Amino acid sequence: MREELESIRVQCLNGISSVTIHDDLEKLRVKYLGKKGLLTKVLRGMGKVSPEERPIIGSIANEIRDELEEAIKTRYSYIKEKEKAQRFETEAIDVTMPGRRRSYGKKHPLTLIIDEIKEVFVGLGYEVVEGPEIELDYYNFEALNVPPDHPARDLQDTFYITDDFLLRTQTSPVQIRVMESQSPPVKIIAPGKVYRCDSDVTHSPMFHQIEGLAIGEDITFGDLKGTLTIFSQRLFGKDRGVRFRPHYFPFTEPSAEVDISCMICNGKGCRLCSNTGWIEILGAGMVDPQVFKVVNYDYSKIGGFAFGMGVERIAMLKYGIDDIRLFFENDLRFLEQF
Amino acid sequence: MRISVKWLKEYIKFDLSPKELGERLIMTGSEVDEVIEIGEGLDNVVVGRVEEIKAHPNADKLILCSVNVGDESPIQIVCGAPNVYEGAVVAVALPGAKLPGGISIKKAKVRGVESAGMLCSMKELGIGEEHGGIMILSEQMRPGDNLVEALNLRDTILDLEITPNRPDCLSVLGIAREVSAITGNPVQFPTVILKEDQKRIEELTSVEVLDDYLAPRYAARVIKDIKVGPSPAWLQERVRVAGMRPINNIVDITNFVMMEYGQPLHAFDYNKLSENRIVVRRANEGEKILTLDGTERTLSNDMLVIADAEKPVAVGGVMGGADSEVDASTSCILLESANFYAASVRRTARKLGLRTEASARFEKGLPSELVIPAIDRAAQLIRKIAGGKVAKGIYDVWRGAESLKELEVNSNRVNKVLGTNIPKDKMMSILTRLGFEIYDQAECNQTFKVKVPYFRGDVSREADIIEEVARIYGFDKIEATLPRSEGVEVTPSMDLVLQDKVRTILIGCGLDETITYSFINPKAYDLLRLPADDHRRRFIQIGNPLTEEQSVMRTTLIPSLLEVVARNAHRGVEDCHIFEIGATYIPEELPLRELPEERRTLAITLSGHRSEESWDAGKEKVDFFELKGILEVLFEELNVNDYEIVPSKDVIFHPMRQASIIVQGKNIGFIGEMHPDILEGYGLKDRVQALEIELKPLVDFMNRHIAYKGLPRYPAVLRDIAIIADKSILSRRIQELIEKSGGSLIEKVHLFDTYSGAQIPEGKRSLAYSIIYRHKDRTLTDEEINVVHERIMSVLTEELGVEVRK
Ligand SMILES: [Zn+2]
Repeated sequence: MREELESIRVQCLNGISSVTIHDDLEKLRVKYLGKKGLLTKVLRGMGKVSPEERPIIGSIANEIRDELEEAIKTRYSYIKEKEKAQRFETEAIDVTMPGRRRSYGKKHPLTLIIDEIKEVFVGLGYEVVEGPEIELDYYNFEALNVPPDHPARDLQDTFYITDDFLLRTQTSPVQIRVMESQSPPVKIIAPGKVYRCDSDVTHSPMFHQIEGLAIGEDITFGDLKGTLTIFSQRLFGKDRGVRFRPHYFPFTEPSAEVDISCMICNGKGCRLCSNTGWIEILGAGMVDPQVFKVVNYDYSKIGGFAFGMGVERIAMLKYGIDDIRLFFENDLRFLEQF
Repeated sequence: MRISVKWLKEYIKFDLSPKELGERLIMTGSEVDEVIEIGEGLDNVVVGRVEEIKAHPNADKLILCSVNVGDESPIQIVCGAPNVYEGAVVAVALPGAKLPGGISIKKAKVRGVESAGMLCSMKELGIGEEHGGIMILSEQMRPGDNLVEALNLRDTILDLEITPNRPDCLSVLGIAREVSAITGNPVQFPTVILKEDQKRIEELTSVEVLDDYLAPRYAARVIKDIKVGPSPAWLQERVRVAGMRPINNIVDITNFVMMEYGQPLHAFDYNKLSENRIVVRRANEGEKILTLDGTERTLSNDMLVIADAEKPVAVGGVMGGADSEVDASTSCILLESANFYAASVRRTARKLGLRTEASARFEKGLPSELVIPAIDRAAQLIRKIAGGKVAKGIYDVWRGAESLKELEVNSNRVNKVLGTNIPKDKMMSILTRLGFEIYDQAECNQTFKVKVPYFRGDVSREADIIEEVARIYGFDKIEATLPRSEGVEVTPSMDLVLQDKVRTILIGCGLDETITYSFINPKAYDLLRLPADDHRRRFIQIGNPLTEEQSVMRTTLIPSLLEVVARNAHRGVEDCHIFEIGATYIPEELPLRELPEERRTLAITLSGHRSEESWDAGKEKVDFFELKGILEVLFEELNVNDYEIVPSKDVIFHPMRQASIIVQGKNIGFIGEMHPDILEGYGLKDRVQALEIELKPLVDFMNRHIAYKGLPRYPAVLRDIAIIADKSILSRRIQELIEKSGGSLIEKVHLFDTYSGAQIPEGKRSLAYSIIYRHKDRTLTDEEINVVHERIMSVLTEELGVEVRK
């Protein structure tokens, strides 16, 4: 009987080492170790064995069973690993092939700039408001201290709809509308479209401005400088010089233009800055008393500053764009660069 | 305004270099547009005398000049100028010279003959505009001398941008006053001592002003026995550096004084004036005048003319007439120095399309007080340069002087507005240097009074004084601070929040944002094939458009986006998934009587392929449902759930592929596939899906409360239902019926397949829905579900007459 067991063991081990697929291994296990398997069959003949030998044969049989089960398990893991390795081999990919993209759109570059500017001023406590693009002459000019025949009207070629209605030439009328409808303190910015009859590489008949207004009891020209310095450096970098230069606007007094040091030549002088080292980005000033009078604010009690800037100009400077018309052509190859 | 630094220095001393001067002027409010160095590059240009002229052996139009340039022997120069003659003293550019015009001079052979330099014109030297020939110099000049030194040419021109409130700075003396305020040095005004003749002006002429509103002051002098001729070199140079062309001594003097004082002057030929007198009046409607530029102008009644007894001889403040022009034969002139109403000059100049140095000054408002100093200065110069006798007196018609403005200045207030601590004394000294007269000031008092000088019409309030103090004190010296927080509550505008959110969502859907012009071509409405009574044809027209293409305010964004699609397609960019958020302009009434509604509108167009090109993806094109899916995502993200998509009949769309978008019962826009005829009009071959909605009605949803619902704890059961229905029955109707008849056990109904074709009868289609049943408190039994499912099937059969496939 021992010989019989030994030959089952040898046969089985041989069989195990020669199977290569999982199913064959399972068949082999059933053949030798199953309920009706060869090992069980042999043990059924235990009756013929002397009582003294029975425990010995029994333990031999158990050892063989354990050994075979272990061998099958080992073989099983071996086959599994091998199959996996094969599968991996067949599933190889070229990782340098392009990905399948989820398409994501782009905001218009002017929207990006407006968002960036809004963020700075919202952080400084300003409210974002809008005003009408088709305006009354009164709000666009007269209330802003530009009566008919004022020479400042020459600087802004206006699109008229009728004698009284026009396309606003600036976002400044929003100042008047805001002051008419709320009492101080006021801190607003007003982005929007404006229109002038002018069209070339640097002028578009429609463009965008952002107006700002801060009114309060103790607001000073120094505050205007501080606010716009923070703004200019947030937008164009901390190391930009900022310069305030006296200028003239009908609705501010004193008035200033704000320059930043040229980002191309750092102030040495180049084509972009026409060799001055400075680039104008903003107009600003203390609100003119005449404007306060128009909106029934008491000039003796309050003060404030206003500022305005062209969004396209800032976008052109920031992105190095040299033709304003690109913004409105909407060539996707342009839009998708931002 | 071109300011010669050399000229400026005749009135004020300063130690600043031209560059420093420019910087200081910039920082006090006079922007420097350009700095022009005169004499730059002329180091190798010398005075030469043409000794002998010979013909060029190989060229008819060229000559050989033997030129003495101060060396022992003359040099030979080939020249083509017609005005060279033997004995002419000329400007000679020697080898090595690099002229301002960009020409580099080298020894060279011209048509086979050696040429050792070049005879120069003024233009080539960068000192003048004429190019009639080479520059002929005075015969007194010594050959070999450096030209720049000999002509005393070295100068710097600052081209200043003078703001419209400062006409006083449109003059050399005005700028001198600014420099005085900057440096503290005094201005030396020209001394005018005029020797007059015995004859009184009243015996020679009269001035009658019929409209003293348009002409507050008109002053005239008469000067007899003058000799008209070229101006002396110094005067020509002054006129030239100011950017004008020397004409003759009389005209040059009027221009010189205009540049010097800022007061435009005009000289008439006295003998060409009918009855030798002046009438200042409005033009008669349709009256004509030939102006000095040789153009005949038709005048209207709102324009002011200077006339003689019969006809206009000048357009007041704008330009003189050709008929009374001073020329070589003139022996007696009537010199005009006047003040005209700014707005009227501006209007007239605009109407005539004629802006001159004179009108540019008058239209900004000049003081009447300037009239007399300027006319006397001009008379003095004319007498000196052109000879002649100045008749005694000025014929001066003046509506009357206005008294100088007096202002009280509170130095505390100045400092409060500026955020500074400028001492009162400092303020007063700044103002004094600017020509303000300080009076009524006491040491102990914060306030003082000033008289505003007549030439500062722009200063009338304390705020204007604050500006004067600030700009001369220096903006750069004012400390930058931030406003003390006043605790303004900031509530974001929901309209803007919505717009930002819509942008973010659509970008997430892969669309690019565009911005197009608010004005469009009215033909766009024809391209959209809109009938005459379509509401979108009620558009606002611009009175003075730049072009027809940009002449009406849009009432829909669709044409603008179609143009973008077409432009991109034309440039080879086929896949165009874009949107725009912008206003449409909806008038209540036409012509406008109140502001129109500016309707914030969203438009989307899709064309080309569905997704980005990939190595394994299908090449599917976008269709209606691609766009509708984007709309569904948009509405879901904006919490808009109460909406319907209802088939519509809009002419701009494919008749069978379009719908209205109804939110809370209100039609807010449309979605559809653009009509092929319209696309053809735009030159588009691909289909375009388009959508346009008004954004305002969506704002309310932004605040919708979101309440959390517990996650399901009991399993769901999924059952499908397949039906064959008439094609005319809308999917939405079927879905609603399923939801209604299924009641509360239905969690979700979802269309997962449709089919028409083989095995489905003509005019019908098959639709397959999956229904998810769930009870929130327990597990549903098959029996319960069967009851509901049967009910749904029978309702569909009964109400819609559909066949349920088992
Ligand atoms: Zn630069």
